[in-house]
Amino acid sequence: MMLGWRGQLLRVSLSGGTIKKEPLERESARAYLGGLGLGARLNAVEATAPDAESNLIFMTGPLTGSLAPNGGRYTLIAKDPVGNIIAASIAGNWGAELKFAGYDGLIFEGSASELSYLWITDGAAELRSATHLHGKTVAETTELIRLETDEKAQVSCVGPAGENGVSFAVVVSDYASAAGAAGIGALMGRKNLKAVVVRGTQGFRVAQPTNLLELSAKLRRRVAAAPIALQGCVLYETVLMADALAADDRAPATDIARPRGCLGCASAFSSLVDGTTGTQLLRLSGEKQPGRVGERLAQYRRFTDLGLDFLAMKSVLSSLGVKGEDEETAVACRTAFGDGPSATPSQDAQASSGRVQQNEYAPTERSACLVGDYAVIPRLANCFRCESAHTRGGSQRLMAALESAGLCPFVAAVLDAETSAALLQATTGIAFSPEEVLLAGERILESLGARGVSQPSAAHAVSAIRG
Amino acid sequence: MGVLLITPEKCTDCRACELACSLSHEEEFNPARSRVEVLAWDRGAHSVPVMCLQCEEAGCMAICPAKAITEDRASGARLVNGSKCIICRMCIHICPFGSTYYDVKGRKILKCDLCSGEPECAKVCISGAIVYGERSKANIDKRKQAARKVKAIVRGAKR
Repeated sequence: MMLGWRGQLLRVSLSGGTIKKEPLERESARAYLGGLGLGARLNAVEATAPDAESNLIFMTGPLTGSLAPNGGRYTLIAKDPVGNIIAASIAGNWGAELKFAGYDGLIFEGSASELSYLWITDGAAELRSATHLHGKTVAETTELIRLETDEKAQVSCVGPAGENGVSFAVVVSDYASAAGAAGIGALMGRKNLKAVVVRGTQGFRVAQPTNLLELSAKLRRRVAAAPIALQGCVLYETVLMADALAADDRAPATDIARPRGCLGCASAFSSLVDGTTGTQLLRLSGEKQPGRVGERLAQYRRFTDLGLDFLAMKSVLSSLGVKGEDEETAVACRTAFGDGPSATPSQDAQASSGRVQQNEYAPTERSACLVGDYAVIPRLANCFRCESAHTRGGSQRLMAALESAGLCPFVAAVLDAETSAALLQATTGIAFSPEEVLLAGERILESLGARGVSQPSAAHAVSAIRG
Repeated sequence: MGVLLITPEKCTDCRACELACSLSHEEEFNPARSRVEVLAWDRGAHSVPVMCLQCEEAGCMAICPAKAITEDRASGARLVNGSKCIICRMCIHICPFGSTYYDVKGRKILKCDLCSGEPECAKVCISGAIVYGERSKANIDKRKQAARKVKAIVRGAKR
């Protein structure tokens, strides 16, 4: 039995309507950890005809759904038409729920004859018709599906934009956490897959529960105390992010200022808080908050609900010269429903929400996820630039390894390779050394087609930005 | 003897308490077998960790026909003695908070036992929504807060 991993994948042939369980290979799990790395590996080794549609893979890591700080992450992986790996990671409850249900990952092949969703509950899985969900927004879809499955089910779905093949469509879970990279939402829509719905009560075991509990409690405090790349200011041109208000003892002035976190998050990053006033600006209920930032966040909410990448949509709007809230919403709606202007985001937006880049600094493939692209990672990337040349590669490798293992990549700013190895060891029972973690990171970066980093082991790679 | 103090407005819905609880008691990550549950509504805009509050006049203790629920004097917890319990689920019916559960997988009753006086949920709750402290001191902050309000009102009245 594998510990940490569930040791089981589900292969869903959408064209044939068949669902098959498959073992997860222990060796590749050890080498590529999970998430990003394992998904890219799986996609790379699967020989598909050159013009065949890419598989879509949902993959968690051994630390997804564990107590490890910010361990709510899973990754969507596919190939673009040229054969490059595209991936977007996303945080929230969905990935952990999949593991509780018994699977590390899902592989979707082909496309369904009619709009469908996959319903997984504790090892059982069935494809159901989703024709009644055609054109429904993310929130509507989530709620309707919960009514017909389980009120505690976790839903990862596309909005109208994905269904209509908009090039910058995102996949959304937990209502507002969006994963978007080079049209991964459009790919899901093209497969006629509206949603993947999971409910799991089986749980998963780890190698050293007591050690992991102690280590996690310690690391969670460390992450909560760290000023990770954030100064509590909301960026106007991107969205987000909040300071770790959760660690603040000052009682919020009103109930609006409640920080929110993804599953396992020690930083409560998914709260959208105005840095100057400490007011939460985006209530998940969609209630509008005052001020310019409030408007912007309400807009983020609307665009995400339609299944659109916020940043890319803004770029389209500005290139079309569309102004005013009502007009912008109208154009966004038309775009999502497929009869909008010829929607091509500008180079900038594509770069930031786009595909794997060969850029030495830009962290690859972490695009329009709520944490990933909008504010945190670019800032973190700036921090990495300050590092000396021989440590830079290490932090990139560590980020890749942590993200694949199922943590938010930016905890690389707080955890070093030693603690990451200790976490992996307590979870999986495999004696990971810090060097092995970095080596896994390098393997993952290579499998993504990013430039290999061949510097010597840099265990304390991110120490430069930790202090 | 301590008490768990819940401050819902600090809860971030990260569910670390559920993970820690199920790991320490059942040696697996499984919120379905946790003795604490974070309930969220309004699409996650509000959330509250719900768990056994170790009632002084505990209904579960009174109703248990097997006398399987007893008070642990050291921690103050009401504990279910698995060897006496006949799993009749009367404790589940009577609990006003719904904080006793039937564990389908382990075929037993789940109920918060305060981890022998060191609750793991409180240890991993970095937002401070779940705090474990001395009964006399646990809610001192709330009392101080209330006192400050009174003070402000009194000052205002004088002016």
